[in-house]
Amino acid sequence: MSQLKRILIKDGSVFDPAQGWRGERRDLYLSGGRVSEPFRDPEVVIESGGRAVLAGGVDPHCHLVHPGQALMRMFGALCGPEEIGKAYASAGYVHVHHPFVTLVTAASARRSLALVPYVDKSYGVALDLRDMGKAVRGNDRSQFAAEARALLHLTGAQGLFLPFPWLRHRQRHYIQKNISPKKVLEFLSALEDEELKPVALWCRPGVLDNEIPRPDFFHFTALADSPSSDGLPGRASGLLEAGASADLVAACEDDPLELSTGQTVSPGSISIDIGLGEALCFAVGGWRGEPRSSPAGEGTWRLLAAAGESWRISLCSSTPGRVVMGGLPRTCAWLVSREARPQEVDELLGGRVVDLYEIARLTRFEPARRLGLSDMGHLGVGARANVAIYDVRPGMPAGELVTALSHCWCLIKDGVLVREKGEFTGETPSVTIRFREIEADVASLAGCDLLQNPTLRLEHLWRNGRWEARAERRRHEHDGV
Amino acid sequence: MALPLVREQAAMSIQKFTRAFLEQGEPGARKPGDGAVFDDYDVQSDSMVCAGCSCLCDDVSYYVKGGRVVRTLNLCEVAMKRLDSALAGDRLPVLPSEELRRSVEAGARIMKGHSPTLVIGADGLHEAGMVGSWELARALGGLWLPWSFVGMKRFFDGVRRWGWAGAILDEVRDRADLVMFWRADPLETHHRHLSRYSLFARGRYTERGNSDRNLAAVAAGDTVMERLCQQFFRMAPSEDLGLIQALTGPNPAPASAHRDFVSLVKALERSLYIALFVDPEKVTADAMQGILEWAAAVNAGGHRRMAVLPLWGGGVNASGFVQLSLERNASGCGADFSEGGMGAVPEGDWEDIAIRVGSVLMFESGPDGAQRRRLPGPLLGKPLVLVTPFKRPSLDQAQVVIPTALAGIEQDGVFFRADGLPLTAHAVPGLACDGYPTVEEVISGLLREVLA
Repeated sequence: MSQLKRILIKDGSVFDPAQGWRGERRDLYLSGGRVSEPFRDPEVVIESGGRAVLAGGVDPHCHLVHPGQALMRMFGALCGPEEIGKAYASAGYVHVHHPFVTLVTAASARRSLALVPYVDKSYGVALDLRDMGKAVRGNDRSQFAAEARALLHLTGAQGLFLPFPWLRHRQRHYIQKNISPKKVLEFLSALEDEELKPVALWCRPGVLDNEIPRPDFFHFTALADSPSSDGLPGRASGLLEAGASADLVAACEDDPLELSTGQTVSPGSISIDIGLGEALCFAVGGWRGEPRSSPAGEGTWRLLAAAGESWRISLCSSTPGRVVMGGLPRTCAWLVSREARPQEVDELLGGRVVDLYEIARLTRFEPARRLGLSDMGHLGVGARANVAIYDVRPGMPAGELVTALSHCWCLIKDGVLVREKGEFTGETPSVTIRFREIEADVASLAGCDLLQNPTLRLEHLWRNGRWEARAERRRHEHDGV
Repeated sequence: MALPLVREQAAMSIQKFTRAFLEQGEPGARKPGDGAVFDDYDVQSDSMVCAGCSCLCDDVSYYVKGGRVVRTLNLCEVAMKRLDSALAGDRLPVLPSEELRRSVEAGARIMKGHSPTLVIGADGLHEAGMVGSWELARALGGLWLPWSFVGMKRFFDGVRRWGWAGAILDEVRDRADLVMFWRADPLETHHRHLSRYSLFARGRYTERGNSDRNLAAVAAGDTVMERLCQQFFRMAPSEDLGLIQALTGPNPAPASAHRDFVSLVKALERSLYIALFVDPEKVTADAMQGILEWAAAVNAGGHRRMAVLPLWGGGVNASGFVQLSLERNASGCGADFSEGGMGAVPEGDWEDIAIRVGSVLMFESGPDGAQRRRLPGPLLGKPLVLVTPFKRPSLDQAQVVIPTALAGIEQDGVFFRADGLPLTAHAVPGLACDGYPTVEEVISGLLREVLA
């Protein structure tokens, strides 16, 4: 592991919504891998010369490592783990969240995530109503909560993810077990276990058409991509005003990877049944030059135009291509500069311009808060020493602005200087897979469908089993310990 | 398991299939136990993962006494042969450290002197060994190919053209109401596949196990599987494409005169989830393309789902090899680091490969009787370095033979199940190991010598 040095970042324009810092010039002190109180005799002094200083970025939703996804590398639609990690670090990011695994695929995801360097990782775990629907039908909230806790505990997930807020069996014998979205959303809203909050809900067709009694219990993923976009700004703003959080996918016309779920699969695509009830489909994406009826990310721009002060929204990449190809930094650049953005995007944004303070909120503070990473996304004393410095100046030409946000001038991760003066230093920071500490009485659930159904025995699914020890060992090897 | 084929029984209903029936007349068939409790052991280990094949059964128990395995539970014949091979008296002895060093030096010398080197068989190694072999092949400027190279290439060529619909085995067990084995015989290579995942296992929508499923198979000759099948097609590989076209044609009923054809068409029509297991090495390239095209057409309809699952007959860790190869090389079937290769997968078959390579580093795929692969004919005669954890090899032409520990029995190793899920197969606790070097230690030594 690299030696942690006492670092002084001098004279930066610091943006941090948690502290209310809106670009005031100040010094930042880092010691022992944390943001610290001021100290004397720093070992490293970084003269930032008024450059923009933000906490390390957090991507709250990026499909990185689903089973079968690696096959998209054959089609040139996906980069290797090394390249993905490097692109994140280059853009000033230090953490990425994979939206969901299942009880069975968690070990596979952990293995693949461990291969991505430079950034910490976390993942959510999918609630499978085929297993847990019995508790919903019987309105047994305590059983459901116990099983959800067990899922988090066993898989090492950071949070819960609900891919389909309904249960629709295709087999005729089982249709009496179907559950409507209304029933599911009402049931989840009534859960009393606050530790399970928020449940990430995939905004699939029709989801927003349902009454959601308690929006603050949910985090809406890909909110702006919901097909019920006719009344989207109104419906979404209602949810967000009521305390829900959401992530919006950064616009990128050239994203090489398209991801969807469904029964109908386009020929030529890769589709895998990973245990969601519907197949996860990967296809080669990218804008092929056909005329578009609306610009990419229309919903995102409309919501950002309407965003209120209290809205808890984050900006995410959704697929690695949007980081590697600069879609996420470009979206930020278009938000902060009218000159940088195309005319049609400017119209959708209503001419609205946000500052780096708002960018820090969209890409640092809110994503970290949504994931429960209290020591990330801000620059308060005690926070992990994750700092990104961008060479951004007022009135920069559009192209330079996108470049400056895609390639940070300096990145410090956990006190290790990863990038300096726009170049990688060669230092490799330690990386971890974060998980939520949660109590669960797994033994009492031994007979439930959730734990009975996997083809593998419980001890081989358990994060705390031998697999974890191996992953830990590998991490140390990676760190050179 | 070789039983005389009884033709009238071949069409029997699946309900009549019993263990007693399968074992009738078989030498050494099991008898009911006498009820005695087995307690003559020192160490008992349950829920161990077996790395005998890509089923990766995780319910294996070992009983060890005096450093020897005295009893096992849930080990199939393939796995038992693997275990026996590790414990056999005629296993290659451990090389003394000085001799090991000399062997490693000699091996490295051969590979450096006869470049490029073909590193073959990493799909039989655990993950750490595979990673090491990749690094070694890269350092050597050689080729890194699996035992199933020809089949893998055939499969991924089809995937590039038609896409692919896959599934984890849990979903197959839960949802597949029609299972087909297309020139892939689990009773030869994956003995517990039928009971754990594909035929007898009970799942969410297959609560009555095999009673809720239709089993069909295509094979070249007689097989025990025939008596389990509702439809069985004994035919040459060259006839595969005709059958696929008949099944997928607009009016399939009269397209084939086979006795089970109409029955299979009806079964396909009433199925919601079809799982087709295929060994791509045993079908023609056209048939492989045809199967993937068929699946693409079914899945585009949206009414039913068809998953195509390769059941590799090569190394036990073929799925891991594919995963690693994709992660590192954006190709599922290996890499070519030789001059002009640029990392891409080499074209052609073993004959073309043989023309290009100067030497071979071979990792054995399995013991005698269980997945042991022979060096492809065109490669015979090349200078050969052999790394094996198994019994004395029959490959007399190897210039250097280095015995190693067997992962999953004598050392821990990560293996990938057929659907790509990784599991750690741990060393059997209490087993007396003779101090064999691990395969990654041997590879490290070779790498050091190569880079020196």
